[in-house]
Amino acid sequence: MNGNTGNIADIDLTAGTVTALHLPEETYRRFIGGSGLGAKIFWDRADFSADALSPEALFILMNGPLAGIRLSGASRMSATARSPLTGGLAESSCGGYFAPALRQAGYDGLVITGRAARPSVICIDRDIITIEDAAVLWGKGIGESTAALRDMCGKKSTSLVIGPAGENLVPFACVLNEAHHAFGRCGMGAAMGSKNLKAIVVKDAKRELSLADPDRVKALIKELTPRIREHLISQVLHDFGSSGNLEGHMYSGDVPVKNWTSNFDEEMGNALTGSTLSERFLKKTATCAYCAVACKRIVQVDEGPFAIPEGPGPEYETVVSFGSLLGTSDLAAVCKAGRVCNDLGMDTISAGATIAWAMEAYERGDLTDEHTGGMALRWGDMERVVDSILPMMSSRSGKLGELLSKGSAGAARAIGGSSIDYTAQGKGLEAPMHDPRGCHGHALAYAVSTRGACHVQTAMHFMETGACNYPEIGFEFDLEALTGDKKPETMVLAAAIGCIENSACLCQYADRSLTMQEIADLINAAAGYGYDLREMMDAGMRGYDLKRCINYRLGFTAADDALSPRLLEPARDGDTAGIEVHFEEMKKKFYCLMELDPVKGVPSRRRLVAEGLSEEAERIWPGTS
Amino acid sequence: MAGDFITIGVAGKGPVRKYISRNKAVVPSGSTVSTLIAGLRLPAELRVICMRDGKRMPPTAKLNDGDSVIMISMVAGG
Repeated sequence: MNGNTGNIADIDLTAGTVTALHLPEETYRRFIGGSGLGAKIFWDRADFSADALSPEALFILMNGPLAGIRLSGASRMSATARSPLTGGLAESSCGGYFAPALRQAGYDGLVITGRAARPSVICIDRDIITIEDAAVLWGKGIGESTAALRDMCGKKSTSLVIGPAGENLVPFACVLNEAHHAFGRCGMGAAMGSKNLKAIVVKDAKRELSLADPDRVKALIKELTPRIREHLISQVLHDFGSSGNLEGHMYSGDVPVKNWTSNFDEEMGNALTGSTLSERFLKKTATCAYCAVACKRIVQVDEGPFAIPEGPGPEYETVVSFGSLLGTSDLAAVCKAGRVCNDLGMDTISAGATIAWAMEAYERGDLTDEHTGGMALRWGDMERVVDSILPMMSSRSGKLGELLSKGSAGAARAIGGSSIDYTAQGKGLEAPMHDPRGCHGHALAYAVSTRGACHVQTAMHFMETGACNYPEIGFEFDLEALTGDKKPETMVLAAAIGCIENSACLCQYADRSLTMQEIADLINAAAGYGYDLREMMDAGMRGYDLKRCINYRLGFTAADDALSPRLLEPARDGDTAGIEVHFEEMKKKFYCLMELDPVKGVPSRRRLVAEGLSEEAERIWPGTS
Repeated sequence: MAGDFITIGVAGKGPVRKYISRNKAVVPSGSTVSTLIAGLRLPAELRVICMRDGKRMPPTAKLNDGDSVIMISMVAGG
């Protein structure tokens, strides 16, 4: 095995055993690593009838072939499970420090099943993996738990930790590395919590990486690092963080306001944008491992009701989820809400979006004092959000806490009526903070993303906004944001590219300046896959198609490639007011281009067989030819 | 001749702020959005679009003396 370690630890928390899982090298090559390989393991191993929170459910952490190579943007890893929030295939990507540490400890990934009898932590110390008691950490916030684990396992250890929300099985609970970097989406924190697994720690290992062509890897890093650092997106991210263009996007109808009832508020745009965050609260920048971009923010709010000590600051998604979406321009409140939500261990997008939905429901009278236990929900009431609602959601306490802990779609189904119409979600996953009515291809991307409404499972977000161009694979379109023109064709490429990025576990910011050929070169140099461009694209598409097959076996069909009505109704104000998104036309063409069955939503048998997924084809299309 | 030129108010938002140090641009009469953007020598990768009265303007849109335009970048992030 070149590049990859070839070692996957198979951990059964019920039995308390650890065994080695060795996959054929060809399997790595066919699925790249990360989310692609995670999907393949899920397909091969999952009990598809098992509930997401049952002991039988799988929780898979996978590195990509580039983990630990000291390249900007190559320190991410992927988590795969059945989503406690959507019931479908969950995948989530996290930056930080865990991926290179796990690689240096000698593992490509962890496959975790079962349920520990007591709260536990998995400790990885090179070849020795132990399951330790974590009762002392249970109930503690992520910050305190992370610090305690560092005291126990050494300053150079690094950990993945859940908060009270994960312990309480909130379906959108997240997992944090170093209390800053998140497996945010799809409820990975609940997946861990259901296994009584509070944390996973890797002790400092510092093994020499085994690479297919170490000199070539070194040369590529030397060549590409300056370009990554100097790329315009990297500079904006470094200077102002991921919210650096929030005020600009507010004008183009990208930024949702008040539960997506509006997408223009100039004052909010100015108050919440990255330059304002830098001017008012930034103490310093921070990074993931080996990254020259340094997009992370370390902030401090000195005074007022939302004072917080120096620590992790909000990303774009958090700024909008707790800012304009809730009808506030109070950036201090946003910083505190993000900090509290992270410490409790909830995805800030789902948490903010669910609260925004509840505020609108209360305003409409669909959510009453009976539902809320007498608590009024008002736009912009951030003290209530920070002090009451977030803690109630994470502990599932009180009527309101129990209701909102279901996520927006679950809560809407619980109260009934038309309230589902003004949730903003696809497949039950709350949409990220980019309004598809401002970039119509996003509507298609959100709907056909296998994990639910998502802008980073595929590359459409960056391709539609012109942040990248790939002439080497035929993507040279100059796309018009407010139409569906060429969006299905772009989506085909975006699905493959997104799967490549999430399987190679590359940061979608840092790799924007790389060509697809350079990504193939990196993978080949590190892992020795020997890809030509076509083979790498095929591997990406194979991964995407496999995920669709998994979703089908989990009960999803073509009808689930849809968005809630709120996301498709014409915008009411701003630049995009009144413009219709021709979603069904885009979807129909995408289905045609991808040979997707219009009922099942899965690729044709012919296509699956051509991709080398014959076994999967037989399962999906039994007895046909 | 003064009549051959028009004055446009310009304001950059987000990452465009860094590249627009003035708040006015003087361009030949009959200029379009494309002419204005080219004259400001902005990096092509910014993918700038112009907004007037809250609406985006196509590159071929003609500018009028006294127009105020906001310039934003479509560069994605977040």
